[in-house]
Amino acid sequence: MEQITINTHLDGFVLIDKISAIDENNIKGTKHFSGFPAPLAIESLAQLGALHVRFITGFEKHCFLLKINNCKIPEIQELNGPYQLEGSLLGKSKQAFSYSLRATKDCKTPLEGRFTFAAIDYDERFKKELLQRHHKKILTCFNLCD
Amino acid sequence: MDILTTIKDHLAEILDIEAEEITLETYLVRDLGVESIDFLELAVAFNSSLGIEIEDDEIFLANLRLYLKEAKEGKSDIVSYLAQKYPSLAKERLKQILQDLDDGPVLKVKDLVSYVSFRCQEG
Repeated sequence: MEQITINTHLDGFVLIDKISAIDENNIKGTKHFSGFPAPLAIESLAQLGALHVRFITGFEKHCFLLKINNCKIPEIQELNGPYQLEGSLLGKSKQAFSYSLRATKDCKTPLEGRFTFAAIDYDERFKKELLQRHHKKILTCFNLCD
Repeated sequence: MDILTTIKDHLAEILDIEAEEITLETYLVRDLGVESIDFLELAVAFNSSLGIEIEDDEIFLANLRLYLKEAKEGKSDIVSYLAQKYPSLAKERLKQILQDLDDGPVLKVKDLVSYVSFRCQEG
């Protein structure tokens, strides 16, 4: 089988540097971007929301981004410097979670949207023993990193 | 705003249709083409605007055919068995559902109204 190499120009694919606050309904974090295309902040926000879903479900669920509504992207080519990432839980069911998520720098026009995630039980494809430990470790690392 | 209006508004927004097209007797899947991703969006919208807990499987009758199988295997009275699983639905409605199964997904707007009303009363 032919091997394909994909260069994302990223050092890893975790696009959050730190979680500064997290509770049942809200999550805050930061990301220092260095010449990233603006839409990549959408991925940061998706990761922030997914982390919150995992947190409030006690890391007992695997989750996916389902949909983004009302997404606003600022008219800039590149993201540079530290961005505040914030999320608020708008609504939830047993299987779905909706958030208002935004990325701001110096209180200027944010990148924001309404993100909906689905949460499912771990299974053969998404193995609990691997993923649960991985995501717990990531949250621990975010909380410790300054 | 009453429950039916709230549900119609959410359906209209998520499916990009006119709320006037929706009645209590409208089938969600057969008439409106609601898909699984829409159900998830509806669930969080109901939770957000109505402040009630949503059990996705229960409100959208997701496990209906599984429960029918269980009732038959356990030799239980089917309507009574379903009434335990779907306490928001009256036995008359459950009988209608059983007669309607062969024509496709049975969920109607009035079933959502029943669920939300039931949850609000519990609340």
